[in-house]
Amino acid sequence: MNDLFLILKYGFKNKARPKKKGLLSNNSVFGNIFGYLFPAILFMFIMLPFMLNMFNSTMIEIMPGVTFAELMASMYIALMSLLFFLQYSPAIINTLFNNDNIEFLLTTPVKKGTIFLSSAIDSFLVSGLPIGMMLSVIIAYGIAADINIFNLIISSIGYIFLMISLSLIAGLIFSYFIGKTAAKRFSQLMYFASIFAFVFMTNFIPTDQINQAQQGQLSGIFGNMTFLTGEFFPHTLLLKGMHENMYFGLISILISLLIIVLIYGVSTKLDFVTSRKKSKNKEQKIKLTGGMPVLKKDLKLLQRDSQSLFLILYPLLFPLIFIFINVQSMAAMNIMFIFIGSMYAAILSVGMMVNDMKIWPIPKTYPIKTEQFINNKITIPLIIFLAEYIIITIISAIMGYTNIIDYFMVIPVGLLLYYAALYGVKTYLKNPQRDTSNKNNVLTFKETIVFEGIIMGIGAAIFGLLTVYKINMQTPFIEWSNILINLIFIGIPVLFMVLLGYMIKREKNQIKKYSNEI
Amino acid sequence: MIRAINLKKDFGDFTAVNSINLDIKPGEIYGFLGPNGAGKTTTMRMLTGILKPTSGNVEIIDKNLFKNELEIKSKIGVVPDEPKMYENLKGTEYVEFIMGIFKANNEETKSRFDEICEAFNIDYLNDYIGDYSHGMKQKLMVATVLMRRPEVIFLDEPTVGLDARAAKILKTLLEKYKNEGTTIFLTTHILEIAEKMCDRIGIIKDGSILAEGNMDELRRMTDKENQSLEDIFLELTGGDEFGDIIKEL
Repeated sequence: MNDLFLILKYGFKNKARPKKKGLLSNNSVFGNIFGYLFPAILFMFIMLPFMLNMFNSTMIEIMPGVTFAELMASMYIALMSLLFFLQYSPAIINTLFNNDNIEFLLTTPVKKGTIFLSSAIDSFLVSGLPIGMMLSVIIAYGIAADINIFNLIISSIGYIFLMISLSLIAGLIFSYFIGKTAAKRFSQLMYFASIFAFVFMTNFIPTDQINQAQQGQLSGIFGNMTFLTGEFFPHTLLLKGMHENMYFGLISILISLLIIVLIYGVSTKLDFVTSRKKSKNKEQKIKLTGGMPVLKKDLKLLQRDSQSLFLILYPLLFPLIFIFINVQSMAAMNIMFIFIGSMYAAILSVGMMVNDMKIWPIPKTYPIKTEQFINNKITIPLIIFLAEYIIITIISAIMGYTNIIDYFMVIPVGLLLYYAALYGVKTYLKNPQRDTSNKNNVLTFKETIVFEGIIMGIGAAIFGLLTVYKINMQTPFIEWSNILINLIFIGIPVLFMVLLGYMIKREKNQIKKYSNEI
Repeated sequence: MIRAINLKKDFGDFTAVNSINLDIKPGEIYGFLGPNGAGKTTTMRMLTGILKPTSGNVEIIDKNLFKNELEIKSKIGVVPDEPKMYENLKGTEYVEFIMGIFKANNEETKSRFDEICEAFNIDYLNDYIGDYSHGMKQKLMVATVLMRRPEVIFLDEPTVGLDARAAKILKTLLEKYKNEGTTIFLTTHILEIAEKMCDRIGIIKDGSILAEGNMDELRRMTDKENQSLEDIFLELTGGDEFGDIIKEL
């Protein structure tokens, strides 16, 4: 046990993000753990009121002994459990094989089982998003169904333990035949699938009280789905524990502990070091290609990074889902895109910087300026996300949701994305000694809050006022003179764009300063 | 060919390199030796434009390095102490990238690279660099420098990780290039290599050069006839005081 704590303690110290080169903060371990758990906690609290509202309005029997709320809870818990299982098991493999310290740990008198468990705990912290969402379902259902608090706590703990132990079994089995790259991609895919599931769940859940007619319809639609409350599903143990007896929860904990002990024993037989792959093709073709070697290299590395691919797709797909679900306003999509797109532009630029910084200072021996390396990390995310925004605008225009003002929004969006990419590069250069193993989490909590505060503040000032102006153009409701309306609703956004221009200049100066120091 | 004038580098209060002067002639192999932390890599980093000196100047091929940085960098080759490369690129892509960066994407360089690959047994370029061992990376790093035939080559511990055959080939190639007029600046901890290969040797400790010259000059400086470079090095750097410590161990 001491070995496990030691590995975890120094593992997290190693992942900590020192402010200055070579300095490790003593308080960083818990801060770092909290940083990883924060998205799960945040999503849990966001979903809780939605879920509570839904369960309160669906607490009616659609089949004998089965309420619609229970069926919905079963569905959501099963879905989130599946996502957790599919994200967590490959994440264990990825953490295990991508761990820089694994070869060192294997030379120490620490059992392989302990190393496997440390990897499992480490992975859990980055795979907790579906658990956070699942907890919101369990807590909301518990409150709506008036479940005993002890039953709720014991059953929830038991169920989470059970899911972890089942994922450990899968992780152990997968480790024999899944490569680290495939595991990483699969785990990432599931992370984003969880977020998409979150979007669907918060948009499809009924929030109005169900009437008699709807009750009949629901029985017809969901009657066939009562199999989800069957005895053989793990989540049934949870619901039984909550409704009937907490022993079901205790049984889950007991089973989980037995599985963990079993896995601890079996994992000592694992071979943790992957063998090198050798290409069968011996003919080494060097192409005498033309210019732009840095750009070509950056694009190749970007294309091969599975995390980057999802970062790129997400801001495009997210607003598109909303277009097709229920949001018919370009303004809502603008805000959504700016919030997500700018964040990911910053993260993507950091991710691209990491590729060069991993081999630094070797690029300084090349006959090109450091600025050339850095500029690509700003322009590539800017072009990608701006193109996505234009695609969203075109689709919205085709569906008839746009107005003339929306086409001009491309200018402030471009400026915000440019600022975001600059912010990412500057923040990274300011403190390059940060943990970059999980690219969704490269910025610290403070950096993220500051950044989103700036983006949302400026975004709201520009897009909020322009949207009001747009609505007023269609159906006038502001009884001021045209000069005053133009002065306020066009003038203030223009002022904020000028401010953004100033901030861009400031970020560029800072990048220049920090790039001279690397 | 390589001149360092009062070259100094401070990191805060710590002086890593203290006003050193170097004058290395064309077609010379210069060995730069010193104990760990003596300032070898810092000096090399300043000579190759990676680090800016706190004071002093560097001239390479008769030009001020810091005023003609890009031009000089395109004419020199650097094999760093650690062969760090983009792990998600294949070997072939890395070579194409280097050829593009140094504007060396021509048939002559390509055929020279093919010959070096054959000599070093480099047959793994279709694999991702992330799957290479240290030695495989080192061979590729050396090959991508030598294929360009730079006028000046800087090598920081070049034989680390190389197998005996590759190390022998590298030493032979460096001798050949030297005879053809290439200037070579070499740091190593393997004193036999320095003794056999280098025309002149500089020994640095605590950021200052303690001695410099060819083997005969170094022997004269230490008043030790027929002594090996190892003995001279240990006497100058104080490394021969280990006898008592070993006894304790």
